[in-house]
Amino acid sequence: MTERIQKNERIEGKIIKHNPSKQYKYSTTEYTINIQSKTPYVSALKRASKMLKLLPKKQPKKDYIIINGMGKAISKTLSIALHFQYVEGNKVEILTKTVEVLDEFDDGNEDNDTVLRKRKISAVEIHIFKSAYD
Amino acid sequence: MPPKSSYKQLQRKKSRHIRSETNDPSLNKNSILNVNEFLNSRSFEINELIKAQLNSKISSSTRVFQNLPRKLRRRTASHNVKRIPKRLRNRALREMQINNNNNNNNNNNNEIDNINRIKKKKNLKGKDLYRIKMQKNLLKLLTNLNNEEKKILNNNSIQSLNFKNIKLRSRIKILSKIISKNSNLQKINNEIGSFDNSSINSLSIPSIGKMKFFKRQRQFIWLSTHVWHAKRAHMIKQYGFQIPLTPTQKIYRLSHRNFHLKGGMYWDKSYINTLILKSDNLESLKSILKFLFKSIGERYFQNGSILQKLIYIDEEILGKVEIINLFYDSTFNSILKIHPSIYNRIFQYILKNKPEEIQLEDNKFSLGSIELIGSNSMKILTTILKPLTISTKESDFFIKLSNESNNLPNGLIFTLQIKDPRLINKKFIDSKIYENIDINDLLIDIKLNKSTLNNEIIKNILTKEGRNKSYENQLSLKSIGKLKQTNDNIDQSIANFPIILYKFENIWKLITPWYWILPIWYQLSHISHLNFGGILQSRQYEFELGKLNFPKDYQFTSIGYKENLMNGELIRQKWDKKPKSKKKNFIKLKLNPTEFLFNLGELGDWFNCDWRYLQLLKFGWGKLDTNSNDNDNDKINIDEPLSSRSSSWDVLYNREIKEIHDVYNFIHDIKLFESLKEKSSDFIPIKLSESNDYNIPSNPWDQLLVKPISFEIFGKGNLQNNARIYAIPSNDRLYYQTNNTNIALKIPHSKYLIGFVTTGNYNLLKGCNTGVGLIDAEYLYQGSNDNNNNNKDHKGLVLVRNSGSDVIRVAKFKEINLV
Repeated sequence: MTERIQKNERIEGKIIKHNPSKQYKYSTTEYTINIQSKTPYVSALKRASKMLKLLPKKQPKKDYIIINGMGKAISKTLSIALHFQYVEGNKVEILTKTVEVLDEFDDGNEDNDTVLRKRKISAVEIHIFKSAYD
Repeated sequence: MPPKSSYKQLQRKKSRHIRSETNDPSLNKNSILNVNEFLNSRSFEINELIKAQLNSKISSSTRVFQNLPRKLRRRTASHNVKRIPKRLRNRALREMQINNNNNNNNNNNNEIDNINRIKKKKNLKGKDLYRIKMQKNLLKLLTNLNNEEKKILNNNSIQSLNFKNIKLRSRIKILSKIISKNSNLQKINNEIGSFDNSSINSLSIPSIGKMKFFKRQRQFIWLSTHVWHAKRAHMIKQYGFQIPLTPTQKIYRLSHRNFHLKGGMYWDKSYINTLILKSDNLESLKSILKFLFKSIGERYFQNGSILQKLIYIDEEILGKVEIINLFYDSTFNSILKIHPSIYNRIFQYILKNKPEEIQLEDNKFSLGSIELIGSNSMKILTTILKPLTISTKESDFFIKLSNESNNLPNGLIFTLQIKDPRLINKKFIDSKIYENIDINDLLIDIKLNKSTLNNEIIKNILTKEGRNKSYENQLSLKSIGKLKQTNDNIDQSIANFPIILYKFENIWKLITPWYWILPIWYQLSHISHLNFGGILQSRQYEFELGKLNFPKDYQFTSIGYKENLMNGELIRQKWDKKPKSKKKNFIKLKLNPTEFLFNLGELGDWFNCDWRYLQLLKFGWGKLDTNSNDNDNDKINIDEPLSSRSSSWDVLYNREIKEIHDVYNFIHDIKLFESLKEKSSDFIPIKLSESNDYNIPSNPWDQLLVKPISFEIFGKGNLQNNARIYAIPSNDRLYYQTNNTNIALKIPHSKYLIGFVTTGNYNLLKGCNTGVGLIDAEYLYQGSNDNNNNNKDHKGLVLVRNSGSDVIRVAKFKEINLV
């Protein structure tokens, strides 16, 4: 049986990374973009500018879109934010935060169970407003 | 004011008029073009053109439902107002009235009902029509009987049941007497006739169901949602079931969005059959599972473990099977979810080889399942499935996870006792209550303590008594309607039933007693942004992720191989029907300049993956190489195809393979011989290579080892099923590597054919053409044993060419490891 593993103890084996906990609402898909490290930069830009144009006018009314990036994707997310701030001239807010993720360790031996461990990771949330920067 | 009809004409005329700027301001100024104005007036004209198209479409429509999107259109909407969305009903009624008034002037004989609809003459319908048809059939049968048969019929006791002159009450008396005589009849504990139809150590017999529909499902059994599906989907009769193939709506792009972006998709997968292995001894269960699936680690013999494995019968791979281990009291159960095409064979095989203490329970018709995918699937599940008691641990965890999107880890499993979903209050659970819960702690707790598994509920769903008990007080739709009319506060726990809910390969899967599928299904169908799918949609899902679909892509199994041949035959029949000018001429295809003299047209069968061709090709070339080495001649030069030598034969009248054209003539001989046979043989020319080994067939009946791959092609191009896969010739590697997006690449010799594409298409997830297929394992494992593709000779590249096309493209591939 598995036991709770001590913090920061090294565990050998293959690591399976799980996504952070995320709450889902259908309407959020109309104003949020999640950036991965494999997301192409230009297509993310295009997606964001398209989303800004088509922001929902009815409830829930929003005047900004949200772009999330975590870990390795932070730099890419920030460069998207800067693009909107300096090239397009939109008002941009940058929030930093910490996200908790689950790691699963598989030692390759099918007789042993896998082990779960929590890990904290930094992330950014960017608000790009429709209005121009004042 | 003009009369109505002419007003309409005027409107129509108006709508067809397209406005344009005839006096273009940009053109008038001394022959200098004002670009800004010029562009503005053009954009104005384009907008007018688009508007006019829409206007003429709207003005020509006379009924309101003509403007509805396809999804909301109904077959009977023209005369039944209830088929039209509520917001449009008033207008629809008005239109119907106008229509009817016009008709009334023509024929005044018809009656008119209260909403001005014409009443037609009453024809026989439904029950009455069926009764009269049956009477007619019986009379026909009676006239065909000979005298002796008639005598037997007269003497039989059925004669005494001639109810013609007997009154109703005495009829009932007679019938109840007969029923009481047959005391072994089981009493059913609900009003709609649900019962558990499982059997132990033998295959269960499908229940008759409603008498009216009995005849239609003698060969192909209906799912419990069949009537619902038949109205909305194309059905196919396959594997002993009638299964929805695809919705009648166009759904390819929509289902892609449902899988990965918005909304979701759900399937009735009750046709995937369930078999339960039961034992009081865990060791014997382990031994039989290891016997069937070769190796299973100890990790998977815990309570609530889920895995998927290839199943073997006498060293032959049959297909893939999903295994769920659940234990109650001291009984150990393995639930096997088996595809219906291989179910009976596996059942008989286990029955023959099992030790005595293991019980086989056939739950083909007693456990059904639903699959659900999409980002809000957890939310949907928690709104429909309300636990009977909230205080238990498993239902507490279930509710706490209710707001999670599809990020929960695979292998999560719940057993829950659920209220009848038709009676519950469908409300989203308030997310604010659970905002401060640490989901990750919860997940770790579930994994360590198995707190989502309840002993009693597992017992309820895995035993016959439990399932029968779940049908107690199951209500019909009618009585639910009555209840809702009369009572404001309905006791929601009148009927409850057990479910197993688990997540595997990112899909939520639900197992529940057979007759509880329909109530859940009805509730799912009311949820917005959620669409149902058929077989094609599950294929699409697996294709987009680059996975193999069973049985279509498992062509090294007997069922997959047969399906491949069958599909090819269907395409051939379509092709045959075309006129000559529309047929693609496969024989005239010139692939490689050095070989078209003896190898005419497309390689192998044009319409399927011709594994026999590939296997014989590898055999022939293998033989050619060894023969040429024996003779100490130079290596065979493929650029010198023909010699003056005529064919030669050995003692057993087998063609001797000494030159290149012998190989192709040899293949032709064998294929001709096999096509002349009345019964096709069960020989499968390929076999899955499991431990990185490869072979060259030593005789025409030696199987070729193959390996599944998934690949993406560089650049543009349209990849299709049954495309041909080529190896990259070692001396041309640089040429193909540098020109990988070029269209006019030269096609290698047919010697380099290594496999076929089982599924290929444009992949909406990847944004390019991808596919899965099987290739000769020699190409993968020859030479170095390094796992890194870049260190190998092939550099992770293959060439792909559609059947009947002379354009070849470079693709990069990955191995798929099946376990």
